[in-house]
Amino acid sequence: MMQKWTRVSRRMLFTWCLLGGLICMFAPPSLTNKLQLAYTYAFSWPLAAGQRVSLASRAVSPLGGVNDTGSGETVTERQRRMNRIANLEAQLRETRQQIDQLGRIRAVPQWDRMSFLPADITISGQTQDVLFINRGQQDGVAVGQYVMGDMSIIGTVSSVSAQTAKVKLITDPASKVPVTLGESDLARVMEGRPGNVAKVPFVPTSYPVAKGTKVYAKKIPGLLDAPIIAAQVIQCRSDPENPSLLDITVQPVCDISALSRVTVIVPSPHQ
Amino acid sequence: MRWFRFAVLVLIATILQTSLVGMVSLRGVRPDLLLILLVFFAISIDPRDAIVASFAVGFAADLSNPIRGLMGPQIISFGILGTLLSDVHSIMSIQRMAHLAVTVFVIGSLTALLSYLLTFFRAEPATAHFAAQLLWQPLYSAVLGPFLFFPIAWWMRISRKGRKRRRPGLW
Repeated sequence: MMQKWTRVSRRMLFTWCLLGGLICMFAPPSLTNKLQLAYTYAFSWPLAAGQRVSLASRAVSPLGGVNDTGSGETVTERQRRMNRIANLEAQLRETRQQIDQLGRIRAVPQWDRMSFLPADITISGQTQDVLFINRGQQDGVAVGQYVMGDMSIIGTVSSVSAQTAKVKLITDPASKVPVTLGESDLARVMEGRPGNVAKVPFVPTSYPVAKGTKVYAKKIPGLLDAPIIAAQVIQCRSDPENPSLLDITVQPVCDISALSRVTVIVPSPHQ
Repeated sequence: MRWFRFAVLVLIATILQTSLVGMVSLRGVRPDLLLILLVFFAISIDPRDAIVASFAVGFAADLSNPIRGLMGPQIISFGILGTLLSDVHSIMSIQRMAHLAVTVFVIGSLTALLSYLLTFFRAEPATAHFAAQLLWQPLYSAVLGPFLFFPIAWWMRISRKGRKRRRPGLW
């Protein structure tokens, strides 16, 4: 076996590897998505833990120092107890966050008809177009379902495995989300663009759209039973190619990069 | 080449890259641990092994941090540039810290550029983060990389004197 390996010329080895890379590149996304989902599932625990530590390090100041008076054993015991308290506080904080998150969601009467599934982000893509969550088919997650972060729509589920799912964010250039603009019933499709923004095309200049106008994900029976805010207009000008239309640029209303937890909107069991 | 140690190292680097490396990010720019591994293996191991190692590191990069959700661009760019660097190292020794830092920076920029161009085949690349990937991330990796070569060499049981120079044999 070893001899066979060494007998293969470098040129041939390089060609094989390159071919493997090209196969991966031009393979159907459903196959490559499965590979990525398998990776996030296999290492979901260290990835989620690392993500939480990484986010916490940005926001939380270090714990107070320990009073080092007394014998070494007492100090060690005290430190151990303080660590235990800190761990319990962290658990309590997390549980409260979940209760608070679900409580805020339930506070909106129309949302009673929808079920919400909290999920942890295991990987957030560097270009912030996709993220992976630790919920999958076994939890009732399916392709096309909406995903919320900080009480706003941030994307839709694009592929799903048994225990993980990939979320295509609204800023992904391949993302197309039906939306309504402001108070009007004008329905359009919001398309993602590079740079953490999205565009809402084909809006006539006659519609009152200005900077700050809110963009809502359109109600879709079975998927979304009430409109939910998704983005906000950050730039609105006349389209240089077609002066009768507006060129509208929008931005998500929540800082997706700072999220560690999201909520998937799954069909309600009552329906 | 100790492939088991290599696999463990790449796996740890992949997990760290997508999680804890965020803690040392400066203005959102993270060092690229897989880029550092790529350069290390390209200049430290046998050229034949370097080809496989480069493509494997690229595969890990695509798996953990896909550009626009695609797999392939980083496998190809890491593979080609790792192989190229391995050949260049056969005729020109890269040993000093400063030279290593420059190498990490150049290879980082070139892999980012090649991945960006390859992404065009399947999707519209994300232009907003391109400057960071082309310049700032390789720069940060270049500053950090040479220092990480020592623990990596220790783990892989590779002498930091590097492999002997030889005539390039790929083409």
